[in-house]
Amino acid sequence: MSREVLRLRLFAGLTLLSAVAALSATLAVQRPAPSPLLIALVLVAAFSEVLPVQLASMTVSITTAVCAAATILLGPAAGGLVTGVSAVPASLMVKEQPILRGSFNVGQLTLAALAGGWVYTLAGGRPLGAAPLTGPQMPGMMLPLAGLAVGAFLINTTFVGAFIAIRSETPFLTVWKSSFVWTVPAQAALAVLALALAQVVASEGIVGLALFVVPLMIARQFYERYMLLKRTYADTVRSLVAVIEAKDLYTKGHSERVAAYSVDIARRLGLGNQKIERIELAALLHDLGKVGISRSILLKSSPLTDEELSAIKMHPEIGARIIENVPFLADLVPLISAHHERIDGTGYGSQLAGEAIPIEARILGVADAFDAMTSSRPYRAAMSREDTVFELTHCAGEQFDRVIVETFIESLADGNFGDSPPGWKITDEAV
Amino acid sequence: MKRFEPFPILELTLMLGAAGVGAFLPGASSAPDGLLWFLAGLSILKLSDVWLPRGDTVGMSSALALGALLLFDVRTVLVSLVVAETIALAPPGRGQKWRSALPSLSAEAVSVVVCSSALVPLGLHPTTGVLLLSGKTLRPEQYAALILVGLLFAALEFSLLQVETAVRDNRPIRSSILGSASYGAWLIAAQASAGILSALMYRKMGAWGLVVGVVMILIMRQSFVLLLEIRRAYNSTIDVLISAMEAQSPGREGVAERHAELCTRVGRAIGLHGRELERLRYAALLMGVGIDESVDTSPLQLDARRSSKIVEGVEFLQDVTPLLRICEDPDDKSSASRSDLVCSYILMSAGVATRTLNVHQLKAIRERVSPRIVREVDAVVGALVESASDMS
Repeated sequence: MSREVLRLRLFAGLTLLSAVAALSATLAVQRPAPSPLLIALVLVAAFSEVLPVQLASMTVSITTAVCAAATILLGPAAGGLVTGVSAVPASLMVKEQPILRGSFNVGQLTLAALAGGWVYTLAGGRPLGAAPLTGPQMPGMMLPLAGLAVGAFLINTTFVGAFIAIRSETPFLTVWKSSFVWTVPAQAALAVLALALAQVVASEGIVGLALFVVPLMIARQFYERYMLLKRTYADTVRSLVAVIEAKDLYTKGHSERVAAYSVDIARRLGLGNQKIERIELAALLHDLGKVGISRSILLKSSPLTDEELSAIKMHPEIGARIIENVPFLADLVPLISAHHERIDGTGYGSQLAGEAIPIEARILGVADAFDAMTSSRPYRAAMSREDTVFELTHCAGEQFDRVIVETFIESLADGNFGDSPPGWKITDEAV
Repeated sequence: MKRFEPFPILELTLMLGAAGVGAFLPGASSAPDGLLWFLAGLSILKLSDVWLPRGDTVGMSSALALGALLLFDVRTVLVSLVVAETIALAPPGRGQKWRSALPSLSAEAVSVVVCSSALVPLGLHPTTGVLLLSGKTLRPEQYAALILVGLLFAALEFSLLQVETAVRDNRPIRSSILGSASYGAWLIAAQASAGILSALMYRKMGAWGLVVGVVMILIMRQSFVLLLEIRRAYNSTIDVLISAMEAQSPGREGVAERHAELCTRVGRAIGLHGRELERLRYAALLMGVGIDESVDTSPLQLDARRSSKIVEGVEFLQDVTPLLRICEDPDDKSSASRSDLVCSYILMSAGVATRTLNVHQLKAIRERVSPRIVREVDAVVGALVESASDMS
């Protein structure tokens, strides 16, 4: 058993034990009476938990809202109980390391619900199960509600962030910032939803719960389909770009390799998931403009004339013009049109220099150059990796961004893209 | 080319009919309490209506119209709908006109009038909504009656919109309604729930209660809009990449687009619906992606060789792959649905008509499709090709 798995097991076990202890202590202070409403809340929460929506590296479901509504309706103990029990069925369905992940999820979700519940109570929130809010009481609920949301969010993201940090050996803060900060608006919306649900159930009982959940489940259906299509969008582009490139023996697979290099560099530089997604698409499409250039020029084996060179230099602009017609891709236009800019401002395009070139385009530039140099062309044979790395380091600071070159060579030295010569290390001399 | 837009006679008739019937139903003598809040909510939701690519809307405001119907009298609701629509059309730059708003407005108006009549046999007050405004706890059978009215309202409104769209586009009504049934059922359930919830919460919490309903509807709207946007993104991306592919091969520019256009027209004429038409279009666009130029001697001889292999890995195009496989090998007798065969026959007929396929490829599949479909498709393809050549 690896040290990493051991640490994860220990962490998951401690989380579950803490949750059991915290829930027992809360139940000792405030035990909710078993009721059809409590059972209905558990069932709805469990049902929505087994139907989550997959986001980048995590899943979200409306369970959060249902569990928070249980807290608002019946108090922290009921909230913890509904959360803990409803998390069990979904945990049993986890395919990879079910015991480890399942017990961790049940534990951390229960702890988060209890924390949110206690902050809610301390901030002056009352259980709405006794009597629903009247209109004038609504503004006074905002502080307890915010407390509930913040308390639950902090505990939940701290535990999940720590788990991911241990597993991926990444600093906790890096994980936390890249994985959770962008979910804050969604969490705030879920808190408002929880209050609305609690109020509806307090007013109309279980029928209110059913009426409330139906539109949410439908919204979830639409959203899940959207996420699925969004996830597979890059695959669609990849398949079609591959067909375009397949017509030229020399560029076959070029864009896909550039995408792989670019995504790796972006990850190492700590860019956010959304930026990484856009970089991948830009890399797949960066040479699309070559369809507007005569194949006799692209495949010419002798030196190009000035006129032919000017035509080649048009491809970033042609590519940008093609994709600006697709609203979903319009934000990639500056990246594609700038992928042949140089740090010293002598590249082609708009002669941008330094930081004025978007970081995504600078990444594309390095990845594109590396793949071009290590591939055969009609006018020259492929260069070796050692020679290519030498060339990249030689041009760093003038043609390429030094930090990006350094990051990329580090990745190559780690053997991410095939075997690297032994002893590749980044040194000041090399870069 | 500017598209001819017929006078919206059906929508106007429905609208005036609903107003006429509404005028004879009993109404409140003065504006009821809370009407302004409902008006504000309706206007916000009408501003948020989702406009579909085919030109009509998915009426997010209908749920609140249902809520208003359960609380106020028919005339008040009808007037509120017209006022809210006027407010929603007012902001400059929205680009929507009364003509485009009429289908959803008339469908809502008819549903309001019909459902107000349905409230009587179900034991709810038909015009003043006394039961709900009384604040009394409802009995289970009263909840059931409310849900029934809600479903009736949403289903009627949805079906009327489909009928109006089908009439406008000269498409078979039955297949238009059936074709949208899969997502329509979800929308109907959601609209009914949100509408009833709005009315129930309003009577307990006033304007705050209405906020719950409006927020819920906006959440649904947002997820629906996201889904529509990503579908549009696929659509335009595939168009652009196919054009880029064709730009590489002299003589092939626009071939896929012309083929897709003809297929879509034929499919629409024989009554194919939403997703069927969409996959037919994608199949036509993608039929040529597998061409190996080193083998093909004529650049205009498209076929689906290797195309299905390329497309099969793409999740969004999963239901396009069977069509390409059938076109690839029409003699393959492996199981194919009736819909697959019909779409493939249209693909190949349109391919022959646009001279992108050989006639012999069509013969094998012709035997597998019902003679009625063969006759219909052949007639439509013939008529469309003839009118195109007359125009040229």
